[in-house]
Amino acid sequence: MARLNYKQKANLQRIALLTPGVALYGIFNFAPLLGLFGLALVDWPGIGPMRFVGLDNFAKLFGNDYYREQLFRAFGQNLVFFVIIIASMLILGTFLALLLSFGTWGRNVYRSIFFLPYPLAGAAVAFLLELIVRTRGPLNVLLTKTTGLFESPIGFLGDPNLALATLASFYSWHRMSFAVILILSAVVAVRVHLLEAAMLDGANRRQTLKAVVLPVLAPAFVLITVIVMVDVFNNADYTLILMGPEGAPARATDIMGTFLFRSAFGGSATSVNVNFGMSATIGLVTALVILPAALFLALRNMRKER
Amino acid sequence: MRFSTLLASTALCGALMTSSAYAVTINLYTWREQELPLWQYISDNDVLGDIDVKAVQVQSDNYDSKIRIDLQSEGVDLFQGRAGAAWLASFIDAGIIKPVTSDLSGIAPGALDAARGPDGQLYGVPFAIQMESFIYNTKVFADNGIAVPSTLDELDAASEKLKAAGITPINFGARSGWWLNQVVGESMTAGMVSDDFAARLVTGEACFTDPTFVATLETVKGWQDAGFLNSSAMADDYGAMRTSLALGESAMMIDGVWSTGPASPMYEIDPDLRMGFFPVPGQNGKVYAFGDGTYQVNASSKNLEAAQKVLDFTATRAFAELFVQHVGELPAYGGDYTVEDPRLKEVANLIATNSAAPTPFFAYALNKGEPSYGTLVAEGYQAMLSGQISPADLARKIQDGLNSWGYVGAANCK
Repeated sequence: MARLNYKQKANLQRIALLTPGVALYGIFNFAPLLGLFGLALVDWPGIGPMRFVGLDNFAKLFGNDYYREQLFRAFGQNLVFFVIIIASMLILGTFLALLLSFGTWGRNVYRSIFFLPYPLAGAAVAFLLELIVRTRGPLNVLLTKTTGLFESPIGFLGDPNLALATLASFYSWHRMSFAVILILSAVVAVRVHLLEAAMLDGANRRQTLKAVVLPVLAPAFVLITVIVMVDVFNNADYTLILMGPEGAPARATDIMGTFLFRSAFGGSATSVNVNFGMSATIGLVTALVILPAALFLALRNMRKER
Repeated sequence: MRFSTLLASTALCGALMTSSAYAVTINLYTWREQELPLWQYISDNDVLGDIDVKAVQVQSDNYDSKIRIDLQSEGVDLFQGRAGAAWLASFIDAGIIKPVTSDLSGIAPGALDAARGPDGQLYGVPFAIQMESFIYNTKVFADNGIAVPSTLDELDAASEKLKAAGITPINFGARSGWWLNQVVGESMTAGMVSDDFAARLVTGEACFTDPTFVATLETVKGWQDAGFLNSSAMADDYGAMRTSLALGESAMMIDGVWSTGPASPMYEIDPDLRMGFFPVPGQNGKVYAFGDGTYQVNASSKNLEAAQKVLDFTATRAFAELFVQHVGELPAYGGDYTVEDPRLKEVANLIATNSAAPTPFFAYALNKGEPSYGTLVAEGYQAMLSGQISPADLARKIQDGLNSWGYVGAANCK
């Protein structure tokens, strides 16, 4: 048997290294994604025989008043949800990361504290934070009885004007450390000699941040934005757990994830028209809408890094 | 040494397997925690001979999704279905459940609707009769010298008195949409709308925009405007509502009798809590009663024969007596059975003598299209209690929503 030359060996090595990743991704991500296209073409209550309906699900989603209204509302609210989260993550996250990057006393302790919520399960975080904001919870006791700022407790989750923002803040609280860690690693990557040069040139702390540190942070910002966008448009764990599949109160917290869940499993005991096909359709439409944005940001990011 | 351990454990396993080969263990999927002691008792005492029934509890919110996934395999033998044709329809279409073969002659006629499919045939055995009404904290009523109101005016007067004493008269957990349509909407209709009119709402001969129905919504809104409801009604959920009543901070709530059963978490707050019932004291003045759900056999179960035996048993008087004792709720059985608990006696009496017949929430005709009556009521009440729409707007919304898919009354109620 002829010996492999260096190039062949290198190729084999590459294949060996790539195979597990590609196989796992293919089996668990890509194949189901393809399956989604098939599922979008049927009417199926999740049980029993599937009925092929062609593009009826798409026609219903955009043509039927009730569905179109739900779609636009869920998407609009999802956008608001996303904007609140990403704004707080980038602004607060950068602030916290910068604080941690300075030689602050006890910063390792702070870092551990900030990272604590991240490994918790979404359900645990949802119940924990609900306990805090509920009408007889500590936050409302603080606002009404202790400080007397308000006469009656605030319905953080019950007021249609507040509920979505409250859920967004839950999400931000839970995933803040993710943003902090990514931004912090970018901050740390700022080359020391650049900072030294800037300081020697007489730049103060604020100027150094603006001219040297922030440009280096951009890729981290893009990465956080893409990951959070994909997550909040596809998942709705806090909303489902706390507000139910109807997105109470009065659908004020309804986002794409709850709309999708409701279409597949129904919103209440009397839900008749449950249809996995419709859910697949909603999932595909969501993917089509956010894919361009995600691709654009990700590609731009890659080009920059080169 | 190692070999002998292996040998011994193999022998043990073998012995266990042969001994258990005689007894069949079948499972029953349920969302009802209160049933676990019942099935434990049945299995522990060999009530069904060799058949052991293991109740698998799935959290209520996830029950529908879980059961749909698990029923695709043959792992489920028996399961509980929610009441009404709307829920049963997809399972019937899928061939999971078949028309019932058990003898249902003993079941109360009112409970049979829980098992009736869209085609009018009966599927499964109904399991409990539930009642919904006002539930009050008897101690709070006694301490404030309040008698059980028998008219809406008396209810208002009692509420004024309670409010003056710093107690929330009526607690609402309006964040829970399922409670608004399934409990509040139905109880208000049973108390204020005549049975005849409610039946005509279901058949489409009467409209939801009719003042008779709008009055139910106006009454609730009136309570809120008069400050009889908790100020945080929209922020509180079902659990918070029950907590408040158990703590004695609120006097009344609209809820189901299940909250007063022995497994109710309300007794964890106050073990000495006593609760009484009265209907929404409108012109009809009736409580709302319905068959809570059904026991179903999975047609593709591996243990079909044993499962069918268990199902047959659930329709008997012997089961009814065990059900009262161990679940603490009234069975769907209509004949004579022993009730010792005075609380259940009171409930049984109210259901037998003073319950409304129509159940719009479960009516297939109102719920087979989208948006369904249930969805419209839950969402609409929340909008009304948040101050976004008026009672008349809400009635219009319900009517328009139903009309949008051409429900049975669409032509009559434009």
